[in-house]
Amino acid sequence: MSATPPPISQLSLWLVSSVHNVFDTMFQLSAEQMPAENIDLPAGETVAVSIGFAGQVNVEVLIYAPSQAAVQLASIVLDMPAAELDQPTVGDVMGELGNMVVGAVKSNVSDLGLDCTMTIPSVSFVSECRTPLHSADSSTTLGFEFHGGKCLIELVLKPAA
Amino acid sequence: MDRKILTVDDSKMVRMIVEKTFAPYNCIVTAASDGSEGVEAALRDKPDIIFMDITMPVMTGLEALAKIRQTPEIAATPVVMLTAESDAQRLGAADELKVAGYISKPFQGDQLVLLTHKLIGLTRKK
Repeated sequence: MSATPPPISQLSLWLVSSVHNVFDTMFQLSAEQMPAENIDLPAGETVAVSIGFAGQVNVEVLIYAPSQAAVQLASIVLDMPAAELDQPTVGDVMGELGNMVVGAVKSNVSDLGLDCTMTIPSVSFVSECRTPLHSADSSTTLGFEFHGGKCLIELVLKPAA
Repeated sequence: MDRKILTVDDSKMVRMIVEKTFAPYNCIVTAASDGSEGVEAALRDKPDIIFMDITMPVMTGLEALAKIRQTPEIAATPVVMLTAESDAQRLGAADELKVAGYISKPFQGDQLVLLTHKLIGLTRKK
């Protein structure tokens, strides 16, 4: 008999813990969690990352960060001037950030005995952040602030296939 | 003598961090962006150690590790899994393929240096 899938509240706690760990370890930055409704992403280009895992638990995580904040993170982690960073490199950093954040959540789920496989991150640069569309009981949106930058992370728990 | 290090990861960021981490040491770092390229690079370069991601396109890190273990010329190469997936199931699968160690992402460069020094020895550039 397989284990019971964790509720979205537990997945959300794991996600928050993972975000703190990734920002602290990779960027040496403190990411402060804020109510999502208090996070007003600035107008302009936004980096959107989609990543998740599928199997006995199906989760999609969408990360939205203003391009300027994404460039700042890439500059820190790669120890390179922002002006030298091209869009594919910034996108790669954001995709890997998503991979690290979601990988820890997936590991917690797998350690419950639930078989899941990570997806490859998909990164796009969009003209503005879209409003989360998912219903309240299957998703939650978290806000984070870090060194003047902001991001929104939407966690979506999808029905088992 | 320069040590040869191969990093296999679909993330350019991780490959760059590995390269920068080992820049102060007497070693040559080469890189591949998926498991298939990683096996080819291992056969070509005969690295002293390989850092391998798990989730990658074309060929996963576990598939590449299995291929390396089946290939006599490179079968004994120490392979360290550098992965965001640290659950018992994934690590168990790597253990069966005689993995030399694990480093969980997120990681710091010091972790790579310490484990590499322990496994193959490293010296700093003068």
